[in-house]
Amino acid sequence: MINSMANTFSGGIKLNDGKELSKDAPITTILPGPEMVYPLLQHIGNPSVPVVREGDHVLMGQKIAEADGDLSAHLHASVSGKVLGIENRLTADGQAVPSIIIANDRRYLEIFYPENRKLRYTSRQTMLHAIREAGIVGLGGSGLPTYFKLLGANTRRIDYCIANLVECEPYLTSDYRRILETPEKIVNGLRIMLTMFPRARGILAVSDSNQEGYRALKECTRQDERIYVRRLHDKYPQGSERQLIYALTGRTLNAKMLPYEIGCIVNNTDTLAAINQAVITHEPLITKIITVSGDAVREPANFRVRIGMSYREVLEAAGGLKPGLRPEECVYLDGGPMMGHRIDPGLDIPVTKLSSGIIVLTRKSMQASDPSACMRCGRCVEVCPNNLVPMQLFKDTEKGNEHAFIRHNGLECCDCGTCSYICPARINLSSSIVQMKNQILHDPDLAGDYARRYVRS
Amino acid sequence: MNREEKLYDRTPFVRESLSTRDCMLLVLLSLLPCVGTAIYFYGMKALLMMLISMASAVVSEALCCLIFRRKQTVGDFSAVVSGLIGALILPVTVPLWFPAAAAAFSMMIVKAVFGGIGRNFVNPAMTGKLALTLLFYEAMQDFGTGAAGDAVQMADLLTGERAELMEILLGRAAGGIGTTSAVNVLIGAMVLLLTGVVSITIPAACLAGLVLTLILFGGYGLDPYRLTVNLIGGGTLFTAFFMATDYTTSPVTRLGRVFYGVLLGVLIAVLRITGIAGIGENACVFALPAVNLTARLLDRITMPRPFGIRNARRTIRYDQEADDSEIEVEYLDTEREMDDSGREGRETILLGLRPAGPEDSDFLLELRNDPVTRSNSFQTEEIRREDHENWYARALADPDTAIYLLTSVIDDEEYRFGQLRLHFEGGAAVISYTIAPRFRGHGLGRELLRLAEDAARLRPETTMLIGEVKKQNEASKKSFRSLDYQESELGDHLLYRKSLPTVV
Repeated sequence: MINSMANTFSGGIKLNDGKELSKDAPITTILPGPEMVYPLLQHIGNPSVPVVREGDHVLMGQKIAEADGDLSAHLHASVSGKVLGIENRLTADGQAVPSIIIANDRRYLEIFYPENRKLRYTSRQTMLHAIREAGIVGLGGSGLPTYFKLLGANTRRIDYCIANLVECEPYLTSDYRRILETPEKIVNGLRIMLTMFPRARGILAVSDSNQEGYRALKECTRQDERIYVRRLHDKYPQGSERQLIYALTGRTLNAKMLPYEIGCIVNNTDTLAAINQAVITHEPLITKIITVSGDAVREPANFRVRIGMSYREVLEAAGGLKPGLRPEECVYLDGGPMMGHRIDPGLDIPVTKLSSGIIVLTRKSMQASDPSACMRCGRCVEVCPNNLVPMQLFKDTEKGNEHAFIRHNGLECCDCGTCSYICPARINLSSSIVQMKNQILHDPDLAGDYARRYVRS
Repeated sequence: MNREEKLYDRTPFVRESLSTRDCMLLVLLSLLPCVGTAIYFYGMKALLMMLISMASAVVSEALCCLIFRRKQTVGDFSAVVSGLIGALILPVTVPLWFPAAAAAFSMMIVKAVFGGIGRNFVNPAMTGKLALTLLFYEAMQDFGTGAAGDAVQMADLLTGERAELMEILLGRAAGGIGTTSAVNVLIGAMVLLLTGVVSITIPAACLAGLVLTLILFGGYGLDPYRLTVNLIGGGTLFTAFFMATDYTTSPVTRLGRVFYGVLLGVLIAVLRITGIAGIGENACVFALPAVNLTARLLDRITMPRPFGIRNARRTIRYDQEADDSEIEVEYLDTEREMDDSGREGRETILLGLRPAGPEDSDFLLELRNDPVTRSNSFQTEEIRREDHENWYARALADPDTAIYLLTSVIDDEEYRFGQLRLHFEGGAAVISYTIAPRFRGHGLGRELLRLAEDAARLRPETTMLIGEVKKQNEASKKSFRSLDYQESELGDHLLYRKSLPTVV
């Protein structure tokens, strides 16, 4: 039997998850407008290299940029149309990235896809090749090219293939809907992983609060001897890789290590569905499921969106802001409110492989207030999932003392933001700590082995 | 970005609603039963004391913010709380300027001088009372009776005069105006605990420490009367629940809080048993500030260990007993059994050097370009693939250079742990080596150096081994030193030399 821990980890916090706004909205496909923007860097590693030129006509599913090396990914057109050019465009994290601009001819002509593969007759090599060809990267936000991740994993040393279906960020319900509507796609993705790792067991990890999803998955996997469905306590950040692995298997991972070193491979819901698509139907990664939600959105929804579509069009499809609300009264977020980025209300940014949601919150509901003095209440210490002392790390950051920061294990921080969430004095613990951490990680002398997990070029 | 905008610009974008002020207001709420006790038993004077104390505290803090040019902090209500607590622990017989002075002292000297909220290292209210006790000892011992009838003093209780426990529970005992009714203190404490403002750790540890010390050293053994009196009298409960749990002066780690609480309980008991502090009431007055001083130290020594830091990866440990370079590979750090596929979780592997070949070019390039390697090497720029391949081809062909890989074969697969390059020149072999990043920190460098000696001997004319290392490269320094190389400085590098005894 699987050795289980208490299905949870130490620290963490139960959040108001706001999922009731969009969890009952079935996934609907929305079509994009006239202009599609494809940033060449939607992953960790080197930007991809365009293989089309201005004036070329492309089909939906056609490769428009090639991976530059192993730690990079291919990029595909999600519509058919003409290439308008390659220029720098802003992406959700505020960087201007060279992007391929394509005019959508609205005909959605596809490239030719060969017949579906049968899993039983597909070799590991073929699977890896298909995953690479489809341009799949870690779709939970990590952006690590999946091909690269699987390449590093020794097939005989992996005992657990874990599907991270927890979706612990508030407001996001894309995984939730996927599990309810098309669980077979996720499970098939996991079956493909299990074929690649013959000694492994598969675990579908869902949150305790997702009873319906749990049942749907159990139904789906009744015949699978190697797959287990496990419920984990509804606590943030249960979806964080290290905490997830611990809650399911009892194995611990520190920030210098990668999961395959303790025999685990963790994949996000979307990634598994994309793997299934790529391996069986040869389809590349061209769509994403995005949740549009928040107390300022008129009709919160879950959309199947083509990569390259603008955020503005996606928000409009959800009815835009509630009547009477002006953009200045709201805060627009890419991703969830705990770990997402703030984006401009103009929303002139494209959906990429790493997008997961557009959340718009009214400023009033955010109760933002100025930070006041730390009173050493110790709440941040209680909730940190990695047993760190955020108030100490914050002090080290304020003083710019990098060595003390490292000594106090600041590099183990997983960016979850729970400390800032709970601080009664509203101190911006997590953003300062993360800033200092990133600063140190760029310096290999200081960071040492911690830099392994951060291979951004 | 203006200040207003900055508020909306930091992750996370949602927050827990409990703020500092909310905490303080909840504390005030939980003190209401004690306020009730004070007014019921001691009437108007008590009310005046409380009002004066709170007002004095607020005014003092506001003044200090002005003097020290800080932002006004009275809005967070911490001064009001301190002021109220400061009054509740005083006897009713003191002149009205005592609470005013104590509050001013606690806000100005104990808190503001050190930087305001969060920076003081002793409890303001208690230190105020301590100051009064030291300066006006006699006045502070007179607890009077107020309207309580013939209340019994704590001192009398301890020396043997019995009193109705019920009386003490309800408050008909002498003590600080708000602390005498155990029932009301406990009701207030429940409010604090249930709302999550304080955790039970410190009070529980304190009371446990107190009771244990009394049982062992109190001289009355398990006498329930004595134990109960000590628990519910003398302001013990009030101190344990309302004052020892003050955030700023208590540790932040769970283990630290346990030690802190126990230390406080033990100290209170000791002071009462030995009578050093005078009557029983004073034990808390001296004990709390003393224990406060240990809070930061306790924090430092009970700092939690980060999750997973004792790495659970494939650690490679050198087995001292074995000959050859036999290394133990531990798959998991935990004691858990892995699964029923029969693997134990521990293996012994054999390390060896194998001569490098053209197929190892990529591996070597990766090693050379690893950021940590580069910072420790003499050439820190990134090496291009074609340059590397040219260099490698020449090195393989060079008769005076030997390149080896440190490898092991596990489950029919070869694992490469690092590389070794020997350059032979005039009877000396110059060593340079790199261990792959994921296998560092396990003594493999040392193993490699050990094997290097054997490799160097393949050239019989070699009599000396030399290694050159950058001063910051701690790992290499350790490895060379542990193998009895002689260290000397060469500019800003270190030179390690060892002569090879000729093998007969």
